[in-house]
Amino acid sequence: MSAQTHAREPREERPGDAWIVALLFALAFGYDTVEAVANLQQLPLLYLGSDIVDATPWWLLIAGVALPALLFAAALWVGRRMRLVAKAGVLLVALGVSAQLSLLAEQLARQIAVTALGG
Amino acid sequence: MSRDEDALRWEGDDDLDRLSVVDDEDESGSGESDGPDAPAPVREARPRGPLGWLMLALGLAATAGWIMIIVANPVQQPSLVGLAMYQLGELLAVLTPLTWWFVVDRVAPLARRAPWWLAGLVVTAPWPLVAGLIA
Repeated sequence: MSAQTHAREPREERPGDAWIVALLFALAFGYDTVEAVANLQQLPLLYLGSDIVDATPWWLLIAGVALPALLFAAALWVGRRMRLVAKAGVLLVALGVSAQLSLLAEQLARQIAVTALGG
Repeated sequence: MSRDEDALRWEGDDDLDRLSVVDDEDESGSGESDGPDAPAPVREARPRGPLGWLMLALGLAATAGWIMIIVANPVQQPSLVGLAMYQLGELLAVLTPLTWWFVVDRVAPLARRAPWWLAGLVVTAPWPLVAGLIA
């Protein structure tokens, strides 16, 4: 094989590369999960302090904890046969959707509290 | 160059960005292209059509909606790191409609681009804005 042909060959990916990318994104999704767990612990106390404990949106808090892991798993599944850059792109989109859902959950929790307070 | 040194260089990394559709065809091909004299892989033409441009316009509209949400969203974080991470999340949220469109444009098989774009339109819509208007 000539050197010129060798230079034009696509760079081979190692199986470990995909694991490294997945691990880096797992850290980001893990941070989202930690934040959701902190909300699960602290938001009920805020509702309790405002005397609207019955309005605590448990479904929203539990969904917030579960969703980052579900999105991470879904992104890994969608990108399972893709090359590394495409796989990373899919994981980035899933991370963005996780951030969007986190903001949506925040908005819904705020509205539920305002409604419960009669505002 | 050893494989470890290879990881420290950029040369040739463009080839890693080849489309998955082309890869699938390569894997299921007759093997004619496996020889050392085979031509270099050619990027497939991926015409977007009116639907692609419409989806891009709707993605831009969704991005504008998310920017409105972020501007109106009060941020309270106990630490500087928490604030930085929160704002990074906001930035990701704003960029996601266009990122979804771009990733589908570059990665999805041509026949499946339309459903993926439509799914992105629903998933990445500025729902907090909608929820705020309904409430």
